[in-house]
Amino acid sequence: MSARKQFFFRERVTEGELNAAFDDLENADHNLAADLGFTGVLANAVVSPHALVGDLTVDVSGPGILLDPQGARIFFSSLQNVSVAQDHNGVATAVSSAGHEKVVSVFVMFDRAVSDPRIDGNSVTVFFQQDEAFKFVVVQGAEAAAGSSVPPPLRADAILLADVTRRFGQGQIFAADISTARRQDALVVTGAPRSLRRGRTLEALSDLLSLYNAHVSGTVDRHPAAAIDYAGGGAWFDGVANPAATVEAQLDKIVTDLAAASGAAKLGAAATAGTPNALVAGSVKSQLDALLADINAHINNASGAHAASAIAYAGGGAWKDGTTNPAATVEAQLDKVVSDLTADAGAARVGTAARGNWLDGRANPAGVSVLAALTKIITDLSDQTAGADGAARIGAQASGSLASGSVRSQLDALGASAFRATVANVFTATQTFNGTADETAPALTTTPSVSNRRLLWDITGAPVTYHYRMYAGNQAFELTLNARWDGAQWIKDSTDFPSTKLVLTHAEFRLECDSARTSPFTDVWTSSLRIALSDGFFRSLDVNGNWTALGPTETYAGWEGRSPTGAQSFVGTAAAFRKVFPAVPSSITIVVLTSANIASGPTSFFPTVAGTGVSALPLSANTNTSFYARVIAQ
Amino acid sequence: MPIHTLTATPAPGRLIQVCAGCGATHTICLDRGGQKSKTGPFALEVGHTLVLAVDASAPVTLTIAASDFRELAHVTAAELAAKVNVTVPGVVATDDAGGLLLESATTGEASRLEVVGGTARTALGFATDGRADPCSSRPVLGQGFGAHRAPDPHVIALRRCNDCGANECLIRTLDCAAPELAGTHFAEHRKVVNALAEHCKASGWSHPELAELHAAETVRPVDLHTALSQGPVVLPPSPPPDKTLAAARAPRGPS
Repeated sequence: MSARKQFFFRERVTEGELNAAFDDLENADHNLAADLGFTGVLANAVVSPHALVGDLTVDVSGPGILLDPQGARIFFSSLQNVSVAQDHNGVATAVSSAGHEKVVSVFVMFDRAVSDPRIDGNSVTVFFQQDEAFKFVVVQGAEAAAGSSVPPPLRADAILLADVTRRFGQGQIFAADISTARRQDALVVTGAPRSLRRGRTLEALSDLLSLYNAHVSGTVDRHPAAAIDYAGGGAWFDGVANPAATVEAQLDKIVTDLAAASGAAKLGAAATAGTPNALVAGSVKSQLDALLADINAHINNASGAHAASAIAYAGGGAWKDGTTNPAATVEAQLDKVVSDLTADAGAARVGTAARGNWLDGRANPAGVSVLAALTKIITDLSDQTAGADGAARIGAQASGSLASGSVRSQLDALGASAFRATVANVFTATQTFNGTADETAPALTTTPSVSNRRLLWDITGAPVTYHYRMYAGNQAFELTLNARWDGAQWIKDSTDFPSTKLVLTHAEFRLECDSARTSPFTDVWTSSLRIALSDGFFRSLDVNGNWTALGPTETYAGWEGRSPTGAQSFVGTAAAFRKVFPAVPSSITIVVLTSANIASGPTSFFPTVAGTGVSALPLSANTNTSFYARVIAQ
Repeated sequence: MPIHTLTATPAPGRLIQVCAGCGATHTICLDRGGQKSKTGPFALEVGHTLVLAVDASAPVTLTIAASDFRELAHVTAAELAAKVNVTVPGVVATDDAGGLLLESATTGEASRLEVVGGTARTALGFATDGRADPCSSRPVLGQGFGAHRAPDPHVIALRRCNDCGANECLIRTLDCAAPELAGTHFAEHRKVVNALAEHCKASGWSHPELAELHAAETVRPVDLHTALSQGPVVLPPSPPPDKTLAAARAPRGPS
């Protein structure tokens, strides 16, 4: 209650008395709040960094409702913006040194907003309307090293909303800079583990109720088992006691007791009926022992423990080909497995995992049966598709000049480089035909028999315009220049040149030339040089031009003139052989073709390897004499 | 090939010559003078004569009569030889490969047979131009030319071939044929000729002008057939002369 003013009838009320009446009511109001200790922030007035674009101001949320320490009501309806760059004295709050900080406190205090000015009887202006108002007071503490700054003290005339930490070079207030640890909310109760900080009673009660409900429901703030008493209980089956303790201790004991080797002996077990075995009442330990003995006896039964026909098979998935495996006995299912797999379709029933890719990268994916996988192997290997044939899928080791790779790559390499009997081959590298070590084995053969002649080799004789050719003739070996046999006659490659042919037969060596500039021409060559070889003679032509040979040779000798006048005067000449014998010939035969005035001879005398003398005795002296004769030496 | 066969036994030995000029085969006795006609048959005429000088005897004339032969135009060597053998004393006539071989019945240095005349000479192939046969006696080693010329000690002049008129001289050779020629006809013929020459020397069958020279020789042929004393030496057929080969080589076809 407030102090009262008892105005009376015909009382002349003064200005002071009227104002005092207001003051009494206002004081009573203030005192009520102060007496209840219900001062501070009642609602909102939350300090936050300036929204949108941060700076050195903070926002204070509205509508803010507070009661100052004297119980005066402070209210502002909308969001307020307060600068913390300066304190209420206009002093900048900036920190001057790096590594330093200071605390700037934001207070709000009661104020009056006067209006409606009027002139009283003393000609003094009086604001007739004086409403409740507020103002923010920014106070800065002393600058100190970071972490050691001291905030300004709380004020008796204002309510602290928040402490803001200023730092060196700071250009913006962040949420982390704002502390509400000292904020003067109306209801602040500290405690552990929970505290309350609220503005209104209902809110505080609601918080308390929520904490309590959460505690009771066990969602939060549950009691530790150590804080709950256990009054003690009956002993275990084996007689071990369970005396009073905390719930925590008893739970630990239970775990310890049951986890111990004797745990099963502590748990009782009722009798269990069964055939052929039953369990008598006892402990879990005694019944486990009995069960173990029964199971071991069963397991140790070496045969006949169960008939497969007595074991149920619940049915399973189908084979790969869809053949089902319905429920049956194990006996029947085993028989079916064997039957299914030994059937022709068995391979179709078994699946296979993915296999490695073929060498050409063709995949062998999973999801197929063994039969399909085998079929795919055959299909893949028999594939004749260009660029994807079976040979490309099979590996091949390096062999000779063939690099390791696939059969396809080696076939391609062979096709590109190797000899193929039915395809014209072009060898751009030197080919070597060494033959075998057997001296009788040919390194190269041409086997078809030759009825007339066969062209073995045709050499393009660039830059001249005719070819060089090698023929296997019928019992002859021939080399030609500018001559091609068309089966009946010779054709000149160029009529600008003669044609030549070298012939080696079993009997002779022959060089032939057709010097005419016409084509074709028959096999009768116009010029021929022939050397007979089959008569067993020895022949050589040395660098001095001597043609040395065995065998008979024929030359010619002749003499004609007047016979000498003396007695026994011979006439004669020399006959040079057409060759040189390797030794002096042992027979010289002179066959006179014609002669005149010859009495004897002509005969040979003083023969050498190169020739012989031919001498004859005239019949009469000083007479026309002659002889002409063949001279055959051998 | 001059020499086809040479044999020193039985004495006096003989050689069979194949004429290098025409290929005719002739038998030549080593120690007996002789002459041989061309190869028959012969076209003779009645009254044809053949005058033969045997050894140192006076020439004997053989006259052809119509009754001598069945067909005068085709008288064989054998028919003619028979005629000679009964007509001419001191002469042994035989059919030698179709030709009439006339030989002295004697042997030795004096053994000689010459056809010195007769109208049948042309028909029989004997020379009529006065040319003497270079070897009407036995073959001798060496050839003399009288005092005007040095003799050739290596030549053995054989009897003329009256088929072609060829005069063959066998040449004793003192050089050595290369070993690689062994077995060739050339080398074998040289060895046979040298063997004949050695046989002549050993037998004293040297040209009179060369007998002393041969006796004084200390060099013997190197290529020498050593089997002459053991029997006949037969040479393989001789290759034809180059001319024969050339004649055989007509232009031919592809082969």
